Amino acid sequence: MIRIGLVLVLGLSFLTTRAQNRYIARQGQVSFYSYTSVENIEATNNQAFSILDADEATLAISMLMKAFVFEKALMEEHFNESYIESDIYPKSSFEGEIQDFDASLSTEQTRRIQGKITIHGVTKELEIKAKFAREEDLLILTGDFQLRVADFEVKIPPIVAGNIAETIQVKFRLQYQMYEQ
Amino acid sequence: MKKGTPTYRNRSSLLKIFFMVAGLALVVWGVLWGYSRWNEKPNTFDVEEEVELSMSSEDLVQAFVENEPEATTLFAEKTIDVQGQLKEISFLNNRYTIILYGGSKFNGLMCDMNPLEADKLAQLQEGDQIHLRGVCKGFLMDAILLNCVLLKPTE
Repeated sequence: MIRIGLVLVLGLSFLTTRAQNRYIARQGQVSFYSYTSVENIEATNNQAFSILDADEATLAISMLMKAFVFEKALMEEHFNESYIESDIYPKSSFEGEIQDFDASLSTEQTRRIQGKITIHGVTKELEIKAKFAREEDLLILTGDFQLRVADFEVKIPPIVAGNIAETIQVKFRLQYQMYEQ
Repeated sequence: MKKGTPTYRNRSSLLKIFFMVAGLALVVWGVLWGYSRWNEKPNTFDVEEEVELSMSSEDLVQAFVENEPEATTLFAEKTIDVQGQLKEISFLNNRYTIILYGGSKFNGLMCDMNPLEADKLAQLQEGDQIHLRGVCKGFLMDAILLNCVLLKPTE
């Protein structure tokens, strides 16, 4: 968590001095889905923040756990207070390197992103397959991946264990624009 | 014994009925409370009620810039009235967002708008003074308010 904060701060200071080929997304969308026979749970965060350095082929993403919106207030309350403990771990983050990335390509490119994800204070290696596409001046990053709840030391009480999937699906869409000073 | 005087047996029956009715009322209340709690939507608030926190967008954003942990404790999950100057309006992922100036070049106040406010946004222009209410979630590059509604300037 501290490292990703540092990455974002350094990224921002870097933006102020070398803005070329730096992209910024302030309203990235990240959703997760838990499907079980008992109930389906979905939540979406529309305020994920990200910096993409096209020269270095790296990106960093940070988001507030409390900004995930659920269908029902009670789900949101349980998520923040009982499972993800948002008061203690308010942010989750990802930092990674994009393999064989070419920002100059105007066609869609599918690339692997290798990095580390931090949720609930636990950091894990993660490899994601993601698509980069151009829409005029925008760079759009989309993709999905799966996470095991148990990997992030999220404790689910046995009484509701059947309501929450062991593996959560995550989808993301980040719309980057060139950073202009 | 006079006719109509309650007997011990009658009183016992009355008490039983009373407890049965009270118990039933309690169960009904519990079911209704549980039902309304289960159906409660997140990040809701009463627009007519006064809120404890009212400030400029610049003060709110700068509070996070200066001391994020303290500001998070003070403002996160609180309903806040904010006044500020409109920087931009965006429509992304099927949602409208208003950005208010936050007193520095890099940081602003990002207000995710309640979908019912969409019609009012067409009348707004960059530079307008905005008064809105939303639920604060914390800070990344910008302070974030969710489910925002526009308030009348006099409110």
